Amino acid sequence: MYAQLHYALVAEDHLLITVADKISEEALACVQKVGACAAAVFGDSVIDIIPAYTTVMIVFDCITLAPEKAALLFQQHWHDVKHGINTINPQAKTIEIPIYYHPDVGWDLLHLSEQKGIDWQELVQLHHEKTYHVYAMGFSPGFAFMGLLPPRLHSSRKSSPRKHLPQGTLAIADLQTAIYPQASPGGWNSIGRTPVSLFDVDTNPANLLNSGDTVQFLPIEKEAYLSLGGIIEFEKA
Amino acid sequence: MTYAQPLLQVDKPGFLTLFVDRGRRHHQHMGLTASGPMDEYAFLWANKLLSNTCNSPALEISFGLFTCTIKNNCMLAISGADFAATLNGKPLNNWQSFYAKTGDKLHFKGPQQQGSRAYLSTKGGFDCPLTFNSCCTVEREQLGGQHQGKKIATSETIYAYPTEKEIIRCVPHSLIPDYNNRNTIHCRFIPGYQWTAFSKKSQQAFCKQRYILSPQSNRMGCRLTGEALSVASSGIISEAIALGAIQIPPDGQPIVLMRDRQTLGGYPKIGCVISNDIEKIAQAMPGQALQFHISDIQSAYKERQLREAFFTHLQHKVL
Repeated sequence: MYAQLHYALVAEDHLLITVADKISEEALACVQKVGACAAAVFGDSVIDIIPAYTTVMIVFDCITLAPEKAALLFQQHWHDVKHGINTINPQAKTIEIPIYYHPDVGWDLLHLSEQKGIDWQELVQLHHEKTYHVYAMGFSPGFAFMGLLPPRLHSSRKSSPRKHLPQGTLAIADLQTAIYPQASPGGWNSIGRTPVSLFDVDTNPANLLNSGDTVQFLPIEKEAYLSLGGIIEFEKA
Repeated sequence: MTYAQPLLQVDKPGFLTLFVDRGRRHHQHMGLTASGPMDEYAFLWANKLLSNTCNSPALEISFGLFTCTIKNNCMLAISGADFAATLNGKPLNNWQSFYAKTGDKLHFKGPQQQGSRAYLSTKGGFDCPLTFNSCCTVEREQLGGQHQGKKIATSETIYAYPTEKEIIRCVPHSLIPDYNNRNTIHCRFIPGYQWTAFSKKSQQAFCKQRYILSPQSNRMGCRLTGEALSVASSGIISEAIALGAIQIPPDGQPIVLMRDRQTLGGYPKIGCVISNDIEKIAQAMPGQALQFHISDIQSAYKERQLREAFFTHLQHKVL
């Protein structure tokens, strides 16, 4: 963690605030606070607030807020937030997501099991017995980068990405885990699938997860998966 | 009560024709790209020529070859790249409004070495459903436009309110950019906070050399090829990306992130193209030369202010 936030004007309407140089839960908590503080401080001048692992990008309307004033204005309020004069509670929530963990839908479970010398059932248990935080949203609409995986599950990306991963695929790569909200090409290791929708244009809000949320995966049996609308899709050879 | 009517029937959609407005605000935190017109200056003119509000839906026609039949009398305007447009075979002036009648044929040819993206607007704007408050079509995200992420297709009907004939307006000559695709593009950028992470040699090479625009460029990003820059680190922790950010991936060849850029990225960024120069890259053709020049936030800000004042604050004033 940095003792002081770092500010960088990337463009006349983009302010990047960096809180740390390493990924940690502490940095994530600080990112959440910075995001909430920016929303409060910049109000109607905000176009987008985009939190990531150690940074918050604030896109603002530079006609109502001059670029040289943005960081100064933020700093004044951040001082109060940091010292508890203003309390800001980021609206993080805890969400349970049912997962059917099985080689039928988790196309890399057997391969990972072999690679690591651990039963696939044990890999699954290692994965779901931990709670995760959403560190960042990106890649595609509703895609949440969650972490951090227990060390025994750390695994590199596939050397060549698959052309097709079905919607709802739960996957792992490096220290992270994620669910593909839409069918998509992908290089992460598939370990299961959820019948739940992570992004739906027609619902409000459209996305199930937000940066800062806590996620608990709940293993479900095949019957429950199918009854919730889950589909078994085998990998095409 | 009146309803929007069929205004255009698409005969040929061309290579890539999309509904655009100024983009999707307030949704990048969900992973949705900001989108917007590749050449915002030309887009803003297409609306201003018809006294539309600056965010009215228009069509972005990339690389031309779009033809349509007019289904209802209307005022239209074209701007941006010159695709030698004709109405019933008669040449139309680019950067100008015109009146079209039911049954007329509007035809765009291919690129004429004067830009790669044209804008077609109608009085009052096209009637396109909004997805997350924008009509912008993003194929990768499968959302926006009339059919959630689908580009305009053959036989598609495009709706709007029919309009009466009114006075023809044109953009003054001095305000029409020269997109000549034979010329080198001079593009100003703001050195980023990661600028100093690049060696002096790389910094100099970046500013001195002429890059060539790669054919592997699209609405997400424009790839450039030239002498490879050495990159100190292969990656940084993923962070949000500004419009115009210049990423240097491990192969040392820059990518300028454009309107449909992904929201997060982990490559080092040497700087950011100033917003008023984005359109120069947007109108480039593959193979065209490009050179970067150092600029600063203040210049970018001043030019941006002028533009916003001209197009948005004065939007109801007649020229």
